[in-house]
Amino acid sequence: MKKLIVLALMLATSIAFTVTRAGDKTYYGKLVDSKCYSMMPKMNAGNDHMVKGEDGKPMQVKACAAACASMGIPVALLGENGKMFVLALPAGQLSQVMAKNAKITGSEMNGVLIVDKVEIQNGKKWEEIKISYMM
Amino acid sequence: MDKARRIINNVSPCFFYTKKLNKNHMRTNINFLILFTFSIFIIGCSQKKEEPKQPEKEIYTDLKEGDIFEISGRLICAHCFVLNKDNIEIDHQLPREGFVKDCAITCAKQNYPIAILLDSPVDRTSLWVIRTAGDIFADYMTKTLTVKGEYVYSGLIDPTSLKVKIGDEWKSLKLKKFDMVM
Repeated sequence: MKKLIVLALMLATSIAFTVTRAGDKTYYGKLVDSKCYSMMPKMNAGNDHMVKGEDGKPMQVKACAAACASMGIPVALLGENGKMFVLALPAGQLSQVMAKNAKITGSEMNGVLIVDKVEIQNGKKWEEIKISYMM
Repeated sequence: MDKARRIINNVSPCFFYTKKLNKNHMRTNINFLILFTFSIFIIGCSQKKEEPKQPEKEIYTDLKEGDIFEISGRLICAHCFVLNKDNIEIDHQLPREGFVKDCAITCAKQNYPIAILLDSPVDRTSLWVIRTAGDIFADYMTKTLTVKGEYVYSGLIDPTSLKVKIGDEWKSLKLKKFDMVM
């Protein structure tokens, strides 16, 4: 009987593992503000940005990427090949880690990345960021 | 006088008002009236109400980064739609959470990327993420939205103006001030 339970548990675990991981890939890149980055890719890949002021002149905004994420502007992963993916998660939850290198596990469709796991590079280590979905 | 009356009786369809009639005449006139009324009814029905012409949809080909274009579609949560193509209503069915009531509204409030789903693809894409904060759409999820803006890449539009259809009317949505400065 015990063997049977263990076998059933093993089977259930393997099925659950297959379901959650099916189609998932790992994407490496940098977390950028999808809006500012494409306006001035060279200037706005970091946390501070150059934006057009109300008078039309460019101005520097400190921690702009963090502010944009807090406001809900979609966060994107800028891939190593320069391709940008919009991350399908609440933007505000990444406001503290903007402009950092990230490793995202998830699946992509149409430029939208469904995120399963977010890890941020801290020195040589990858640290997971917990995303609360609150649905 | 009699002669005149006789002429009127033969010409006018309403002569039974003026003179006594025999049964055959009466029947002919009733048939005529029925036919007349019926033809008016048929003519009335066949004349279609002229509908105001819809402006023709522009067909965009060869869009490049920075091009201004306009698209219309249904407001949906990009996250939930990618997970399950049936998630185009307010309540959603998700692989992990199961049935989630008012999910689309919650997603918008939490600033998940919001997209529009087009009836026919533009630049080979039907799902277009609107590059702005999702919470401005919370009250309008699943409604029809027209977005005018810049092409970023196939599937991502940077909005400059937003109009949402409520009933028969279009209402302009304001972008957040931060969006407008940049």
